[in-house]
Amino acid sequence: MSSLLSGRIHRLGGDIELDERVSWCPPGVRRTQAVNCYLLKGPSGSVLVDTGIRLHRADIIEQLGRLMSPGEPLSIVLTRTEMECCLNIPAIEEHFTVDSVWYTGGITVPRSKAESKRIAVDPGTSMRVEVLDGVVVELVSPLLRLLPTLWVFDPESGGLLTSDAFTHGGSAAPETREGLRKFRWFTGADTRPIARNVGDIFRDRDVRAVGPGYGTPFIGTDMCLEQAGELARAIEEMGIQ
Amino acid sequence: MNENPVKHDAVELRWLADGTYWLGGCLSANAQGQEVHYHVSSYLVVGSKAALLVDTGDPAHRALLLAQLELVLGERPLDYVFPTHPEIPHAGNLPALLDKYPEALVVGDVRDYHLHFPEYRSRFRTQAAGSRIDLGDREFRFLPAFIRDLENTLWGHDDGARMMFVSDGFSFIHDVPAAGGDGAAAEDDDEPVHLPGQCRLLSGEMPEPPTVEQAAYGTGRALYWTKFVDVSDAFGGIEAVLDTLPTKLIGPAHGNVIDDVDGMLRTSLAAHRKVFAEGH
Ligand SMILES: [Fe+2]
Ligand SMILES: [Fe+2]
Ligand SMILES: [Zn+2]
Ligand SMILES: [Zn+2]
Repeated sequence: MSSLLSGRIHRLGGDIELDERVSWCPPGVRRTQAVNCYLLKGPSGSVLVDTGIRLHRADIIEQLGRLMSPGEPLSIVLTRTEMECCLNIPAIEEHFTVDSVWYTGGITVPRSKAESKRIAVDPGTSMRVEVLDGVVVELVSPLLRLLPTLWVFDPESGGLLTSDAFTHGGSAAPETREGLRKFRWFTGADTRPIARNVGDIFRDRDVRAVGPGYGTPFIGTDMCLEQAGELARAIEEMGIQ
Repeated sequence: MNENPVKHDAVELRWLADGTYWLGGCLSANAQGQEVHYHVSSYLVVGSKAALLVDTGDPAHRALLLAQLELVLGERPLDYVFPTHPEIPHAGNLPALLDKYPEALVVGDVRDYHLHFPEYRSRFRTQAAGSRIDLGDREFRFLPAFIRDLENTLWGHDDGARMMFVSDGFSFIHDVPAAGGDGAAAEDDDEPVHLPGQCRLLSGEMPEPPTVEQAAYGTGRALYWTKFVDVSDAFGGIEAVLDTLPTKLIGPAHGNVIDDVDGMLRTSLAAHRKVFAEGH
């Protein structure tokens, strides 16, 4: 567990073995990889962006316990309704007071006792939402996606939580392209608008840290801009044009 | 923003062919004031030796699914669970199924499942595309998923009922509320829908066959990326499989079961072309 931006955003989760048993593992790669969810501390409560994988359930509950005060309200925002984002909701609800669960998409409704709040943001646009009293985040709907996806931008800290994008950090020789395995459909698409959208998202915001759902984060304005440029380039190269 | 209360309806199971059953249920949502449904289906294939379940259905239907299984299987065990891919509507009931049927194995492309269900890791068995499982008097074959979202998706085929199982593919056989209009809904809504009363119908039993426009509407919503990619090649692959594996029924996870395979292939391909032509 580590603090991403001066105590405002904390990274939770643990490591997995990235190997042939993992669908997003590039061929031949064998190493550990961080799988993350993030806690955003607000003035009167906290916002958890994704809930980590079930393999890390006990660790995440323990990490949350250290960061949360008893009875502190918690709101959950899901970047996707995929298993790696939502399966720990029931366990978290057993230990903490969850106000609401924000999610996007249609087929999958996250299982929770709290109020599920479905949110639809048109791809390529964003929406500011007060996800908990006193915490307004910008929900960005990127074109870089497989399933309905939200990136969560925290204007107060400059943290951008990017779900299944920017996932190549943490290897000895990070290769941007390695993080794009999940987006194989790019190879049959004109990816220029998708690449441009990545550039736009970073141009329009003061991004000071990128927190991906897996892989290590990128910290610092220059680093973030550089990574965004490289990702846009990798996306463009993967496509047909 | 769109608060969208979803409730689930109890739906009876449907017998499709000898030893082949359509299980699961529908979820319903409110789309612009109108109640619409979408199937979250599982299919049970019962052979003389073993029984296999395609997709686990959604946790919202856990009790329903277990009851349906019991109804068909009675004292017989469930031997195999084949989640087509690790998403909640397709694999979310794995724990309940594996607890209820302690001998059952999880088969398919089982990458990632150890991250989601580590306590059951000893029960995962890889079945690659092309491999087969002998169910006794019938054989279940795993196929590549020609149209999919997640990388570790597989389709399947049962030679007993001559039925192909296509997961998120072909999920558009439904009426579209305010047909063709996109109304107030954002592009992001990914549910292919039908109206109440059209649950568990075969495509040929629907009041009218879907038009290319309706099919395209559902297709573009269910699989966002198909707006950017020409999937005509994928159809070549599907047709090649259909040439070698006779197929009378196609079972999508979220659409009506297709009993007019040739007609639906044509409509579907036209729909995909339309989505691609308009989508980028
Ligand atoms: Fe899917
Ligand atoms: Fe699905
Ligand atoms: Zn799905
Ligand atoms: Zn229905």
